[in-house]
Order: sequence, then structure tokens, then C-alpha cells
Amino acid sequence: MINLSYRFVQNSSSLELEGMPDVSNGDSENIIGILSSWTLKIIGSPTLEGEKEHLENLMQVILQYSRSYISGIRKTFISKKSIVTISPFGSSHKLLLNSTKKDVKPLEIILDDSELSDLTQCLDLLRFDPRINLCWDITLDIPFSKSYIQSSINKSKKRINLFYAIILFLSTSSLMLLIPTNDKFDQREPTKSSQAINE
Amino acid sequence: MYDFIKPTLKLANQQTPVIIEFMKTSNLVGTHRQEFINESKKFKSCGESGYLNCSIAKDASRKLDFLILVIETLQINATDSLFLKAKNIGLSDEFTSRVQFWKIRCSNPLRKSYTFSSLSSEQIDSLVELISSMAENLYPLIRQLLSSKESKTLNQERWYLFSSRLKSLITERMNVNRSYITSLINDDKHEYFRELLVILSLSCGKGGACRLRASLYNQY
Repeated sequence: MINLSYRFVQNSSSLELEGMPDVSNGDSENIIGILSSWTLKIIGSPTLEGEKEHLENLMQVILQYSRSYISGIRKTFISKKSIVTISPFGSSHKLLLNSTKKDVKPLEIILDDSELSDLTQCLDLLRFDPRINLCWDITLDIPFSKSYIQSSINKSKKRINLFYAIILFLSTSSLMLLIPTNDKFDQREPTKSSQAINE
Repeated sequence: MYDFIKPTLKLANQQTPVIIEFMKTSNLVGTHRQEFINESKKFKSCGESGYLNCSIAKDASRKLDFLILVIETLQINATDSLFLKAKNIGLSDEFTSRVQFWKIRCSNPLRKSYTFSSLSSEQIDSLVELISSMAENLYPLIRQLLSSKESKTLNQERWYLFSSRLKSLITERMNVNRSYITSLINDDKHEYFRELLVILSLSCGKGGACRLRASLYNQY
């Protein structure tokens, strides 16, 4: 049995795939059609391993997140079965990996922009490599609608605007309270001359 | 010498059209160029599916022009490299002529010399290809600027050089009377510059080109 191994390296990320050709599918000798294992090494974090499903989940989430990020949208993406989650974390990005095994704590990896682009490029190399003949369930890079972009970008802005509005209202109303009011005005009685006229 | 004889012997029994076809692809014409042409074919394959019910985003020309401006900031004499790259990729003459290229870039409404024109989808696709391949070459520099793992002082120094050069290019070419440009020049946090670098870093390679192209269109 031919066992093939391919490595995709992009600075801080290194992805290694092991597998064999799927002869029933007509794969040639140097093509991986059946994935037996994969290993992802990100500098400064533990080595990740798993099955094809896990790698697919990771690809789904990372590629969708990068697609949104390039359009200026920063939002959380969760894979099917919630195995992989990526969310904005300050100016960085938090990758949360849940193990399918019991009693294993979820792994948290903080990626900066450069590491995220390394990882994205690494996964890009994998999905466009002609030596890998695997079907990935990944959302294609499609344009977003204007309303989706506006609603995703303006969410935080809307919250900030509301916050500013409340502060502005409170500060102006407290300033209004400071304006002195004249309580000691004279309530004059109607003059006699006017009374005489009335009479 | 040996390389030359080998294909000639092979071609001895072939018909003329076949020979011409082989000449186009053989080492005699230039393998380097062929490599780039193949690459460009690969790039086009992801856009060939086309975006149905999509229109070009309003900010597409602005975004593309600013991305080229960042490339120019990162590399001195980047325009020459851009033309050479465009030629290698096999783009049309529009992208190898200085005047034509400048005209394309003048579709950015924030420019001093705005031409009130808009980009066609073919021009966008070609620019995406060009930017993507240039970003791939400049990736080490882009990565350095985006990395938070290096020393702060060194990073600040790099950012100072980068932002001051980009700001000078912006003041030179953009309409400074526009409030947006003034805000860019006066912004000390360099949020938009960082955003542009992130876009460049995520648009490297084939997958990156597809991503960048998708970001320049809007669905109805």
C-alpha cells in the first residue's frame, strides 16, 4: 500500500497530510484520495491532530472568517457540531477547539493578523493542491449583500451611538438643572384702578 | 545545446500546426513566462464560475487603488515591477502601459485627477490578479508589519516608516480637500492602513485572489 505524505508550510503554520490514493476513484500514485491523518503545527501552540471531519470544520471556519475579515466584517464563526469556533479577540483572533473526546478541556489559541493569514494561506494551499483529491464541504468565496455588510459592520457602531446618546442626554439634562430659577418672584395683586374699571 | 536538439528531433515527424503549438509551449520560448501564464489560468478558474446577480461594489475602485498605493509604499519602484508582473501574468496592454494604468487608477473618486469613470469587471479581475501576485512577493514585509510577536520598538519604527511614506503618497495623489483624505492623513492609529495590509495579506495566492475578488462585488 502506498502511503503518501504532503506538507504545506506557510511561516508560522505547517500542515501535514497523510493518506493514500483512492484507486476505486481512479487516483494516480501521487494523489491522496483517502486521508488517514493530519497534523497542524502553529508556532507557539500545541500540535493539532484529528480526522478529516475535524480538518474540514477548521477549514470551514477559518476560510469563512478570512472571507468576512477581508470585507471588513469581524464576527464569530462556529463550525458544525461546534468543534471549532473563531471569534475576534481585541485586535487578535481567538480560535477555540473542542475535543470530541470526553474530559478534554477545549483548546484556546490566540492568533494575530499575521498568524491568521499564515493559517489561511496554508489551508488555501491545501484546497487548491491538485495532489489532494478530497471533497471538502466548504462555503465558496461569494460576494456578500450590501445589507449584510452594513448590518455586520454597523452593529458595534449602533451600540456606541446609543451609548453616546444616553450620555449626551444625561449631561444636557444635568446642565439644565444647574440653570438658576427665580423662585422669589412677586405675585402682585391686581391694581385698584383696574378694579374700578371692572366695577 | 542538448535541450535544443531534443525537442527538434521530436518534432521532425510532426505536422506544422503541431510544431507551432509546441513552439509556444516549449522551453525555447521561455519556461518562466509559461509558468506565469499557467498560473494566471489557474487564477481565472476560480472567477470563471462568475457571480450571478452581483454588481461591482461602490468602493471597489477606491479599494484597489489604495491597495496598489500600499504596494508602492512597500516597494520602491513598484510601478515597474507591477508592469513586469502584468506582462508575465499575461494581462492586456492596459496594464503594461503607464498612461493606461494611470487612467484605470483615476477611477478612484478620491484622486486629484478623478476621471468620473468606473471599472469594468474584466479590469477588476485583472487588477485582482496583479495585486494578488504582488502581495505574494511582498508577503514577508506585510507579515512583519502585521505581526505582534516582534519587539514593540522595532514594530513602531517599521510602522512609522511605512505610514509616513504612505501618507506622503496619499497627499501627493489624493484630493486633500476631501475630509476622508484629511482624516486618513491625521489618523495616528493607522486603522485604515492596517486594514489595507490585512486585505493584502489575505489576498495572496489563488485562494486569496478569489477572496479579494468576492470582496469587490455585492450581491443584489
